[in-house]
Amino acid sequence: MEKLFMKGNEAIAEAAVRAGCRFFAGYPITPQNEIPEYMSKRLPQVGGVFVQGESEVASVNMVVGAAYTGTRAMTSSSGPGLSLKSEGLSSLAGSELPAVVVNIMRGGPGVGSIQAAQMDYLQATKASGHGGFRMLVYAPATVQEAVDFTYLAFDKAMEYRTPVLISADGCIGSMMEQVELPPMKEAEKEDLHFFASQYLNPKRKVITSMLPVESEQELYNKKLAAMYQKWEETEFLKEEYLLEDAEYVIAAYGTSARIAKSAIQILRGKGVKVGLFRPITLYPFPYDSLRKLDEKQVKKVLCLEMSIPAQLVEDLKIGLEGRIPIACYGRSAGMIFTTEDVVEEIERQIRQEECE
Amino acid sequence: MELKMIIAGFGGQGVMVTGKLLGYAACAHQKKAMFLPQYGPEQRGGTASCTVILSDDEIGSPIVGKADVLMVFNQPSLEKFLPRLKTGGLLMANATLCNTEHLSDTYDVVAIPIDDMAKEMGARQVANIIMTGAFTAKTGIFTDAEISETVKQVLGKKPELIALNEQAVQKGICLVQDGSV
Repeated sequence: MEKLFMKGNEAIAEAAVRAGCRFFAGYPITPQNEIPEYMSKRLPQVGGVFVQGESEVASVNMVVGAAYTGTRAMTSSSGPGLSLKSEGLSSLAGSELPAVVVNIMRGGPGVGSIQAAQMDYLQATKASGHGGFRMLVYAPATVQEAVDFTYLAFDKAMEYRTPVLISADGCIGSMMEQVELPPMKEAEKEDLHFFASQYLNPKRKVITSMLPVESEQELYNKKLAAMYQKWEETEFLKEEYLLEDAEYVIAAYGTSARIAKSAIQILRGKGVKVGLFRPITLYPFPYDSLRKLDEKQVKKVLCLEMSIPAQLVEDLKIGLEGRIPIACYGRSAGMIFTTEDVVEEIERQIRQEECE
Repeated sequence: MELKMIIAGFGGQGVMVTGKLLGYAACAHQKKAMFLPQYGPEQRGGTASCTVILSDDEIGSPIVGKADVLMVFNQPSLEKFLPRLKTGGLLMANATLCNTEHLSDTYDVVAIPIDDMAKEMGARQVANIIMTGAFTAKTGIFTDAEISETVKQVLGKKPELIALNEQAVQKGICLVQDGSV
């Protein structure tokens, strides 16, 4: 297949269109602006609709509306905008609605900085809004993966009637790389049926995230919990690189994982046994890889993240259950560690180990 | 083979176009490429920069620490990014605006007055294309035909510049090949 040289944001938008996305609403924010820009030109060509909303809140609620009709719909933003959209994300989860949401992460908190960072891990995985819902969260490390996971996300959203999040750092959004695009899918509206209907009006389609009778709401909560349980068993994705004999393990996702891999190649050349654990889905988190690590072999796990303070570390703690010490190394706000920085950090950790 | 490079200049000098051109050329000729523009709250007339990685194999880290090649179009960019060029690395500088005196002890310096040359050609906007040609010849990463073809394809939207761009590429290539820089 032909390889194109494409910018991450534009590749994500094209992948969405090919996955059948026919509605997009969004509001500008760096570093994701090429997604709405591309969609504004591309969606009308395929009979879709693009709306630049008057705000993030309006945009996400337009996506909620499109999802009501069974249309494959998407919105995108960066951290500050995701915070504003959190009410809508909770509505999607509460009403069993499918949608794909893209977060091209930048510095934070607050307005933060506009450069690439990974500051929204906990928001993506633990509380993207109120009410204890979860999303499938995919974290691509290359433009090709951004395309592949966006394409997949629409199917998963429809299969589980849930919002799905693509969580990519600003590097993935702004960089250009070679990509192979997936085939164009016909956009068919799905005839969705909703859990709430049976209680509120079985003769009609009732779409709501509010079940006023508490026992009915609890049943819906149980239904979601069972779905999340299933995700934890079947939907996690991970990459393990040179873990078999590793004495040091770097845990990283997205661009950080690519930097880690380059560092590992240099360190291996020096005879240091280092490997990589990379969660590809941030939720469900692939804890199994961590449970498998042998504390007699692995001396330390280094949490490597474009975030200060570290966030991924919370899931490492759960997976490692205190068996292996964890160290954290991060940069933030658009300051990004180089391969050489990571090599130095691992060497520093080893020296520290030897002193102890 | 893997080349990590930084390209910098002020806005309007074709920094991003040059980086993308090299990426497109790699993509069209069985190599891997990564182009990462530096976006910030930049001021008009301030420094624009991007990093490019060209490789025969899959590209690992997209973040360039120490670069193998630094291509600069003005003096502030030279001063800002020189510390990130590895010792012995290739420095390609716009001699019309950059002072590269004393740098050839430490780096492999190719200084070309691309702005003067482009002005002589009657099209100031092709200065970066002269540099692109010179870069290709110096590193041997693409053949003359490959880079000419890519320039024509990518910049072909402005038909009035096709011939000039072609001349500019050839000028850059010849400068290196006849050993005059």
